[in-house]
Amino acid sequence: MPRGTHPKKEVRDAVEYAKEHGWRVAEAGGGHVFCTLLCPLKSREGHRFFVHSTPQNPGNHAKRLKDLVDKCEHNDNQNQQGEEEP
Amino acid sequence: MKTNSFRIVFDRDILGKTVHGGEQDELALANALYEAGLDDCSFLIDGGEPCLDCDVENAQSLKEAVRSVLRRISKCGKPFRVARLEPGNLVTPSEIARRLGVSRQHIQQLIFGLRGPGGFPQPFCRVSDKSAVYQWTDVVHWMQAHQYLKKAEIVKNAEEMEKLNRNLATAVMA
Repeated sequence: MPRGTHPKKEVRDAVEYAKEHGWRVAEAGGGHVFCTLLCPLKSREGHRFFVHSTPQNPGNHAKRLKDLVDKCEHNDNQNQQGEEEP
Repeated sequence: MKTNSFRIVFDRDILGKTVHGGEQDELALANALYEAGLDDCSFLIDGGEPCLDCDVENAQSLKEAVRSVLRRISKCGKPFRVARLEPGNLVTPSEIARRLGVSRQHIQQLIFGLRGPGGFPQPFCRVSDKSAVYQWTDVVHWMQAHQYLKKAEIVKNAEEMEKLNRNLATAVMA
């Protein structure tokens, strides 16, 4: 588990949003990365997001995480994406 | 405050080739980007591709924002190679609708001339018998000519992004 909780509420909320969709939290082990979020697909092809400890704009950083979660096709609440039809 | 948002997709070769080595390589890359001043960007792996989602404030144009990020990346000390910039120039009808904030049905009606002046741009290609792909620059020029666009900068940004992508063949990040 990552050290403590993230200091920015927007980022904390985005991390919780990811966890609600089955994403896992991995300890970053120091540096500028607070933690790594991994999508439910347990392989190297899965999505991963590196959460900054001190993002310049926490709102934008949180939105980017949520956007990735929303488009992830491996979520527990899977999005069905079919082939484009004219 | 104006924010220019875009994505830089890196060459997958920058990631570690082994499963175990890969995780530490990715953390090292994320830290290197932050230390190069890219704290206004988010490093992530999307569909196996290493990406940098950027939200750059205080740049005069999209081109300036992209160049600002590329300059900072070049100072990372890591062998980043840029594969492409997004949003790209090839779009499906669904993507056209998403970018313009309208329904897919609305775009389909424009494409088939059921609404509007007709003469929607010809597809750039088809990825299957039914799936057409268009050039975003063609679409926004047509939209602008028929007064469908609310923001004129959409055309400028489309042209700038397409030009930046075409120039990437000679861009090397080392």
